[in-house]
Amino acid sequence: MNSSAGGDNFPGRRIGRRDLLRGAALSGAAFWTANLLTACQQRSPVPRAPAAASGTPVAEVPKRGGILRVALSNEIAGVDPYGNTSVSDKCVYHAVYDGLLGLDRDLRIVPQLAASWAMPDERTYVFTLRDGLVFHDGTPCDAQAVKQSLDWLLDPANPAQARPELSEVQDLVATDRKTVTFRLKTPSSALLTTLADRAGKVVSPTARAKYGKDLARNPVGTGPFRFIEWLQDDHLTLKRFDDYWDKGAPLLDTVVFRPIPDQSVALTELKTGNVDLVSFLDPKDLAEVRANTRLVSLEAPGLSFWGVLPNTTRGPLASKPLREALSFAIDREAILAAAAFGVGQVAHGPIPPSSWAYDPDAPVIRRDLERAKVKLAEGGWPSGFPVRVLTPPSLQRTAQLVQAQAREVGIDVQIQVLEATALFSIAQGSDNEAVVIGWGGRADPDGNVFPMFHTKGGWNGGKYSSPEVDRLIEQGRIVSDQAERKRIYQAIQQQLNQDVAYIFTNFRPVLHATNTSVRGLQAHPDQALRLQTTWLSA
Amino acid sequence: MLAFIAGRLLAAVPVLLALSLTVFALLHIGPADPAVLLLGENVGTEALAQARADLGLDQPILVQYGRWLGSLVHGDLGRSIRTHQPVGEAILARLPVTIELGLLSMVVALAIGLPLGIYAALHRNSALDVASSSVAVVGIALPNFVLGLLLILFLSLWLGLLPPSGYAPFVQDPARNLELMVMPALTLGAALAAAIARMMRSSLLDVLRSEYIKTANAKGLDRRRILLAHAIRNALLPVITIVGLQVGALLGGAVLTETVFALPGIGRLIVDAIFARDFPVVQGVVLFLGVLRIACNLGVDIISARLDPRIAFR
Repeated sequence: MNSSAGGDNFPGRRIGRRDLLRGAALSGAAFWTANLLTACQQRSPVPRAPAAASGTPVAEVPKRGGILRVALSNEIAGVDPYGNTSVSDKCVYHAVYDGLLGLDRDLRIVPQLAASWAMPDERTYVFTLRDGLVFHDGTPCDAQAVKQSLDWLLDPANPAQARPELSEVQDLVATDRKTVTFRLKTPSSALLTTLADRAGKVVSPTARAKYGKDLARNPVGTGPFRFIEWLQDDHLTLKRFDDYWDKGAPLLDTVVFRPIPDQSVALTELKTGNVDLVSFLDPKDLAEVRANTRLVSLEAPGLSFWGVLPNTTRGPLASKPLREALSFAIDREAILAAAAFGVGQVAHGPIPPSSWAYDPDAPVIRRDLERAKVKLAEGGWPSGFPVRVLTPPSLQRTAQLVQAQAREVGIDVQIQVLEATALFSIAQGSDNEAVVIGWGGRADPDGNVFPMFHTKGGWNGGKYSSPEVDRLIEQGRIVSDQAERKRIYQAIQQQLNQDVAYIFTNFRPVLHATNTSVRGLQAHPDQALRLQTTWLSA
Repeated sequence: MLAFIAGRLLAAVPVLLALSLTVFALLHIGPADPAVLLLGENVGTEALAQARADLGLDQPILVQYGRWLGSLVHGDLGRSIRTHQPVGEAILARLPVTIELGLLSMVVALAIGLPLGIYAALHRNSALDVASSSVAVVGIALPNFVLGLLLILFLSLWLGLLPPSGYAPFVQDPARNLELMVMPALTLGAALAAAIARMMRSSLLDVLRSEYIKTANAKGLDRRRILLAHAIRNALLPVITIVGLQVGALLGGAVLTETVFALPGIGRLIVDAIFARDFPVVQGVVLFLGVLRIACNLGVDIISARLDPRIAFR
C-alpha cells in the first residue's frame, strides 16, 4: 500500500521558500489512522531507535557528543522563524528557537516552553511557562519576554511573514512572571497548532533590540542549539546549549548544516561519509537509498497536496463541465507512478494522510474517457479545447503527463514552463488558465483549505469562490470538537471535488536519508528536523 | 601606457552605466515582487505597500536607479532585501572563492590546452592530433555540470580520492582547500582547455607556414629555437585574445560549477539573488562582474602589446 504521500519532485528550492509550497506545521492535535502508522513503520528498512518517546526496539544507550553534518537541499536565507522561510531555514530555526508549544510526529500538541496551558473561555488561552528558562544570550525567558517577542510579530509595522497566522489574536498579557494570556478577537480552533509552529517561537528581546534587522543572521532563542557561525552558501554551525530546559538534551555537541544544491552530490557526500544526513530526499532517489544497506531512509507522510489548479473565472476552465472533462481525462495512478516515482499515494482532496482530518474512504476520481467526452459535449467543445497550463520546472513531468492524458480526449494542453518565482506571481494574477502546482500544507487542516479555496484566501490563484465552502471553512475555524471538524473538512473536500476547484493528483511524503550511525531521529510531516534526541552511534 | 589605461577606464564608465541600467530595467519588468517574496502573500496590501516603500520600490524606476547610483558614488551598494547583509560585504565574502576557482581553472586550461595544441600542430594528422581534436570538441560541447558530476562519480564515489564538494579557505587549510578545488578547476577549465588547444593548434600551423619561419629554417637555425623563440611566441597572440574573451564564459561556468560543488562563490550568490528578486544584490554583482570583465580585457590588451611590439598603446 502507499502509506506515505509522494510526489514527482520534491518541493523545489525556490518553491520551498514560498508560503505556497512550504510544509509548515501550523496545527492539529492529530492521529494517523492505525493502519497507516503500522504501514509506515514496516516501510522502514532497518530497525532503528526512534525518538525516546516512541519506545526503543533495539537496546542501545544514547551517547552524548559528536558532530552531526546535515546536507540541506537549498540555501539558508536567514534564521528567522517569523520571516521568510524555506524548508532549510526551518530546519535551522527549529534547532535554535523553541516555541511555546511543540508538535509531535503524529501532529499532536506537546509542551515546550509552556509546561501547561488552559482555556478559561473560547477566546482566552493561558500558558504557564517552565521554570528557569533562559535564552542563549543569558536573558531570562519569562512571560514578559514571550509577550515582547510576540508583540513584535503582531505589530503591523514590522515585516513578518508569520503575522497573518495570528490574525485572530487580539493581544497578549503577561499576567505574572510565568503566565502569558492570549486574548483572541474570535475563537480559533487552530491556535494551539499555530503556536506549535513558527508563530509560537520565542525570540530573545535583548537580541532583537541589539541586532534589529540583522537578527536573522544572529539568531538567539531558547532552543537546544545555539548559533555559532554562518558562512553563507557554505555552512552554518550550531553548538549544544548547555542550559537547555530539557536537562540531558540535546545529545549532540555540534550540528553543521551545509547547503548542497545538487542532490546527487549530496548523496555522494553521504555515501563517502562527509555528511551524516541528506534532508528532503527527492522521491526519485528513495529506491536507491532503501536498497543501500549503508544508508537509512527516514519517511513520514507529509502535509502537502499536488495537482492542477484551474482558473474558475477565466479561460476555458471557467466552465465547470470542461473542468470535469479534464479531471476525468487524468490518470492519477499514472502520474503517481511516473512523476512521483511511485512514492506516496494518489490524492482525493486537500487533507493528506498525516492529518487527523484525513478521510481514507473518500473515493479517488478515476480516469473515465467516456465521461470526459460527455462533459466536453456538455461544455460545448465535443472535440476538445485548447488550454494554457503553467508549470514550474520541478513539476514539468506532471504537466507532460497531464498533457499526454488530456490529448486522448482532444484537450490540447499547452505547457508553459516558468521559473518558480515568476510563476507564482503570474499564477496569482487573473490571466492564467491553469497551473500545475502544489500546496506545502499546514498541520491544521484549515491551513490546507483556507489559502487556496476560501474567497478571501491569500493564495486563491484559481479565483474559486463558493459561499458553501467559505461558510464551512469559517465554521471549521471556530468549532473546537475534533470529530465535528473532521466532518466539516470532509464536506469541504466533497464540495471542492464536485466543483473541480482543484484537480488533486497526489500526496507526497517527507523523506530524509542518513548513514547508519544516526540515531534518535525521525522524519516529521512538517519537514523540520527535530534534533533534540538525535545522537550518533560509534 | 598610463594614458592608454586611463582612457580605457574612462571608456568603461558608459558601458557599466548601460549595463546596470539594463539589469535594473530587466529586474523591474519581471513579474515577481520582492515585497511579496519577503513577506508572503497573506500579509495584506497595506503591509506589502509599507514594505515596498521601505525598500524604495514604490518610486518610479528612474528615481530608484538614481538613488542606487547616488549611493554607489559613496561606495554603498545597498543591502540585500532577503538577508539584510550589505551587498559589498556579501560580494567580498565570496570573492576569494570565485577568483581562486577562476585562476585555477585558467591554470588547468593553459597547462592542458597549450601543450596539447602545440603537439597537435607539430604532429598534424597524427593519432594524438586526431584524438586531441575529438576530445577538444567533446570538451567544448559537454556542459560543465555533467563533467563535474562525472568527476565526482569517478574520483569521489568510486575511487575515493577526493572529497565530493565543499570549500575550505586557503588561509585556514591550504591542503584541504586545494583538495577541494581540484575537481571544480578541472570541470571549469576543461572547456577552456579545449578552446585553447584548438586555437593554439591552428595559430601555430599558420605561423609555421609563414615566410620568416621558412627563412629561419633555411638559415639552419636549431628547430627547437625556432619553435620556442619565434613560432610559439607569435602563435600565442590569438590564444591570449581567446583566453581574455573566455573570462566571461568562465564566470558563466562558475555559476554551474559552484552549484555542483557547493562552493560559496559569486555565481551562487547571483543565482539565488535572481530567484529571490533580491534587486540590490543582483545589481551589485552584475556591476562587479562588469568591472571584472573590463579589467580582464584591459589586461589582455596590455599583455598582447608586451608580446607584440607592433601593437601600440593607443
